[in-house]
Amino acid sequence: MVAKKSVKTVFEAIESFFSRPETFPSEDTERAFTEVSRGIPVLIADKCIGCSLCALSCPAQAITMIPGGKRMLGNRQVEIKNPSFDYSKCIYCGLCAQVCRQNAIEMRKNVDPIIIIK
Amino acid sequence: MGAVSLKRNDSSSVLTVFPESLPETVRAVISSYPHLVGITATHVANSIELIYSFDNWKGEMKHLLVSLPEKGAAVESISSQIRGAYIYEMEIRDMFGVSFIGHPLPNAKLLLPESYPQGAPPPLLKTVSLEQLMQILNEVQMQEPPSSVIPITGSSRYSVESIVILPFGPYHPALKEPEHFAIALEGEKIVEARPRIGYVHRGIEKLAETRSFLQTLFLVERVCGICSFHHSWTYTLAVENLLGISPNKKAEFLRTLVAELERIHSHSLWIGLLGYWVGFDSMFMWLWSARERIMKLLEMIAGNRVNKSFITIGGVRYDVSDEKLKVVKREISEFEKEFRRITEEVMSYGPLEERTRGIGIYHADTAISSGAVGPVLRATGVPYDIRKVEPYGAYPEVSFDVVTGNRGDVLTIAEVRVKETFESIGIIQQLVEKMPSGNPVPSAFFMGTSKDGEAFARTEPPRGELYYYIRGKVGMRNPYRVKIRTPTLPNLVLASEAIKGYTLSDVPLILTMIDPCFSCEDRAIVYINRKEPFIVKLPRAAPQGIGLGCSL
Repeated sequence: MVAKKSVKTVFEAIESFFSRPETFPSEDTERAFTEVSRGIPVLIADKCIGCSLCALSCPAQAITMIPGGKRMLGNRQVEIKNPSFDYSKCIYCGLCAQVCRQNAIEMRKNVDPIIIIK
Repeated sequence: MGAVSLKRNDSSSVLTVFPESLPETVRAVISSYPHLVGITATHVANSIELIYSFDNWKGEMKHLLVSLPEKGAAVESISSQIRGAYIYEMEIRDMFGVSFIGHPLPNAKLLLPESYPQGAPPPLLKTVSLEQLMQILNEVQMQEPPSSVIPITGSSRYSVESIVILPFGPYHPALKEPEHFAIALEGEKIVEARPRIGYVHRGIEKLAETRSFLQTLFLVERVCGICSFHHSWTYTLAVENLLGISPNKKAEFLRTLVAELERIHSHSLWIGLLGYWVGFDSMFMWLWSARERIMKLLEMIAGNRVNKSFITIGGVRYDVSDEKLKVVKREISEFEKEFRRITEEVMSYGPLEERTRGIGIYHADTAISSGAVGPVLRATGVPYDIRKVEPYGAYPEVSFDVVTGNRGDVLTIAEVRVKETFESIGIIQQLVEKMPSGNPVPSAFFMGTSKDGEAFARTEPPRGELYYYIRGKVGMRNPYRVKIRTPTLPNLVLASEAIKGYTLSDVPLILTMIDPCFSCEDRAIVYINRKEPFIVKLPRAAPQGIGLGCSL
């Protein structure tokens, strides 16, 4: 019985020696985003029509609408407001990008980690 | 179906009771409806309404409505009949200023800081604004010296010299989350333990009244770090019932899938922690490395590991493709092999069994009178599982067993949780097989106004029955009242009961057998002075709810 157990232990040790370690390699943990992360919201300014849906829906109330220049609507010029994101409040849920009817907010992953200095 | 509207004119389930006749009515009701689900208080135009909700283990509920005047509201305490009611009553006393006659702890606070001024208005009244509340608490913290923790056992009860009152917590190496226990010790034996929570209280119920339905969904998700999906699901069920929205079949299946993955991750987390509490660190490492598979799956499905933000009112936010479902199926069978191997080795390990068998023994009637829920209750043999008694989501379509034990102690609860994990694996495999087609994402997210009405919803998170009550007022964008009753609150009453007679070294083990989630039942308020950004004036309580689990 004891012999059987020790043989099993030896096999287990050899198996563990060649198998994947349980801990993550450091380069995996240092990346800001994985392939399945949601990313961070970034405004595409020329698509935005200033409807404020994103600011109304934001759960963390991290979006404020700021004056963002002029835009032709029909044949007259109107002042519009664009969303500005406070990334220290943002919870990166992606709801603003989903409610935007113009797809003016993009969830980007190819950005460096945001460093917030107040 | 998980969520039910409260119809006040339906005399079979709702009884309107005069305050003076409440004790007799409760006595009559608990003979056939023994389980107290919760006590909900709402402030409506100059009066405070209390709703006592009872269940008869079959999913049929009885509600008692008591209306009290706002000024000097007082009602008889029912804690002499149902012991677990005392903690709900304390919560209502703190938050609404209702006084309960004959309450065992007439002056103790449960959630508010000890220094909350006597004459200040109770926080959850509609007449109190958020700014007013912040000002009160800010002033208290700026002016008063830090008060020491008042021993809530009260020194007068024990005048014998041999009894020592030991403050256990709020910051203690054995506790991962801040809560305070006043433990009366005779030698090494525990005579009595009294819980005091509120160190990570964040005021979520009050905040929910200032945000729209969709924003509140993300707020309630942050009640708990482990059963976050169940909180948002329960809230969504109640809101969908209130607004008359129903999701399609695929959305129901996907919700159930994520919920079951969450159950597996919660249970394997707790079983690993059990090893940690008894000093068996290898077990902790093994189980947590197995659990990482599940976390990866959750991240793949929802994009987040912990706060999934997967659900929305009327459906789910992301569709899950067939390729991803194949990955789920493959990974879950891999996980099953690994989990089976680890638990077979670990649960048959002699020292672990010796350390947990017969620790924290409690009986079914103790559990019922404390109002205990979830695996803690099922370990004594009561087959009470919301997934069976009041099916919601896709649970009617899958077959699974309700796991019960035969005696209540740490080892039985651990075995119940191990078996429940296997049941969950079975449910997930069935869900992937039967996954219907369709588009689960609603065409537009709900951002409208509410209707008049009340709805409550119950689900079965890993820790036990979770109860939400939502009240809407016509034309309002925000819910009028959101009441959350988390499973740890009644289980904590049971733990403080089960702890009697054991030694001080068993305290961490018995406290964690209920899988406590102190952030679930608490809610810290962080004050940020707007003029000086990021200077956080720390309240004497914990600054933020950083915990393994649930708190309001």
